[in-house]
Amino acid sequence: MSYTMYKRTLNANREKVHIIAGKRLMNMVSMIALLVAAIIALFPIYWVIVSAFKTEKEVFIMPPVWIFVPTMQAFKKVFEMSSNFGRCMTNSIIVTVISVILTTIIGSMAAYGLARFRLKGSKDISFYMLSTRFAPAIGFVIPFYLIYMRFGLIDTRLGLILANITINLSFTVWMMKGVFEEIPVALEEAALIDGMPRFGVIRTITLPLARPGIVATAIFSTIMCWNEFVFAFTLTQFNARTLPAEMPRFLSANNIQWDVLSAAGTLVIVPMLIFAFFVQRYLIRGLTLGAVKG
Amino acid sequence: MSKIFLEHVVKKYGYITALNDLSLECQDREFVVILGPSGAGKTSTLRMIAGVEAITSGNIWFDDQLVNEMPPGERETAMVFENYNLYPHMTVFDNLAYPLRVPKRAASYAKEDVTEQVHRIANMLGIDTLLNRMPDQLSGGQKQRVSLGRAMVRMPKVFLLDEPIAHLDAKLRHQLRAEFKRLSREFNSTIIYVTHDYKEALSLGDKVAIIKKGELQQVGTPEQIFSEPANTFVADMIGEPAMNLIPAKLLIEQERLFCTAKGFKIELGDYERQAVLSCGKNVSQVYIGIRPMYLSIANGSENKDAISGEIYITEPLGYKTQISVQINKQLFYVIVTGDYSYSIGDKIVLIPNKQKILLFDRENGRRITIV
Repeated sequence: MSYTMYKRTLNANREKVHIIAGKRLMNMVSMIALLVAAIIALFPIYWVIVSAFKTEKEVFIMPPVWIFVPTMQAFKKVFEMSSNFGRCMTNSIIVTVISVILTTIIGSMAAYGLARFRLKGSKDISFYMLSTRFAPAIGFVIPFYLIYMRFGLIDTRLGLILANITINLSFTVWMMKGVFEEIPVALEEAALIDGMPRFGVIRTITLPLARPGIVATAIFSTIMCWNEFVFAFTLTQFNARTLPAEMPRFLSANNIQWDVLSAAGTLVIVPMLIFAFFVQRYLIRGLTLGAVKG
Repeated sequence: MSKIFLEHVVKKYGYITALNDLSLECQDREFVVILGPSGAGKTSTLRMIAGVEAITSGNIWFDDQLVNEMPPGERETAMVFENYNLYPHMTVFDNLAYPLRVPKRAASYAKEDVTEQVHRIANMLGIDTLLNRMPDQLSGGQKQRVSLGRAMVRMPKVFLLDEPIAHLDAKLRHQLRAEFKRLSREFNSTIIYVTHDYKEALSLGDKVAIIKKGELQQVGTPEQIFSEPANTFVADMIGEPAMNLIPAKLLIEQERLFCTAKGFKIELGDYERQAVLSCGKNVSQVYIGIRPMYLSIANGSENKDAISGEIYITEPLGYKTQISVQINKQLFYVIVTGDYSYSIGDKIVLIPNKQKILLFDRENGRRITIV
């Protein structure tokens, strides 16, 4: 080959090396950035869980103790300080499960109607539902309390379930509307022409195709119900108390026992962490679903 | 019996009129093609017949039964969609079996019957090796066959096909057009086929209805549409290259009818003379319509009904050549078969086949015929 050709291939190769090196550098920088973000996000959780296994003194020591002998005494103290804690766990589970099931069913049906049928004022209804998310929950607490007093729903699981449904319905409807809108109407029309009645069409065509979206929405609802604090704290006292609402019991004016608080916190956080770990790919699918359509 | 009658059907979407007063009759077991450009309202018509689109006004009758409000499932129609609409979460087998498993048919089809019927139809369409695949693993032609199979599997009274081969490559389209023709003979159903391709209309239909912007232009057999177009739109739509439509003037000299434009003066025959006279009004501005295949090239001998011009472009297309001849800033298209030795710039003389000349009123585009 001629000298000019040789020079050209040399330069081309150099450019390729630069591009590859550039890519590798970008990868490394992104990795480092992600690592830093992960540490900032996860450190508090790590700290709480680790502190749960320390003694009271170990929690306070400065500089912090990284290596220590784990002990369960904080957990024992949790159940001593709050005789109700076991009941709170069951309540959290029951209330969350039932709330999510009911919210998903009712919300999906409403979303299907909004997505498929051109009802008068459906645009207004959609926006109205969305607007309920704008106001902070705490603004509704007093009216809820008064109404619940009238109906004897204070400190009942039913009351809490109703409150959860109220809060989460708009989110569910909004997300499910996006899910249903992504399923082509033409498929349902084809099924109708094939002779399937409307409910059969929903059962055999719409729901199977919407399943990833339904699961993602249900996961979000689960996390929101489990962590719900404001309504749980004000509308329950003892019988229907849920885990997040029980947390303030570990705070007192004089002295905060950090190890006990951490242990209680761990018991609240860990179930959700395990849950999220197992359903993470549905969560990711859900995050990208409603976001694009809306 | 599966006669379909559309009576003064109107479809409006808000303020837009998609279909304006369409009346069409499809006889039992007839193959009717609805032909028109995009946006003409063909798909709306089909969807209203299927029952998935509401009728703004007018009536649709199936065998003397009014079906305006009848839900699609009860209409005994099957539809093949333009983009196939296969159920993506089911195998090909389940897609084909779906119509047989719906509640109203499940009673008459036991599991073995379903399998047998699905296999029968799959064999007929050549997709029996694909029964375990999912729709996203199929090519366009295969998807189209599955879509067709899903419609065929329940032996409906009426087939509705919405541009079923529009998205396939030319060769496959040609192949499937022939197969459609064969299949239609085997089925005892009325077929309504919607397309924008005139070739499908001419080759497949017993009857062709041409629609433009929601208005019916003409209904007739393929021969009628081809040789007796009702107006310039129909004339222009059918045939490739399109019919030559040349602006001209009519004159009557000594009881003989001539059409003239710059560059030629052609005497027209008896039929045309009677047609112009019976027309009722004084028509002088017309379009002369003559198809490219009815123009021949003079071989030197004198001919008074000749048009002379210059070759503008030649397009060799294998066995035939398409020549555009420029005559006084007008382009005439001629088709020449066999060998040729013409090149751009050559002077050329064209002789029209006078039997095949059509006259169109320039004012409204309608063909001038004996009333």
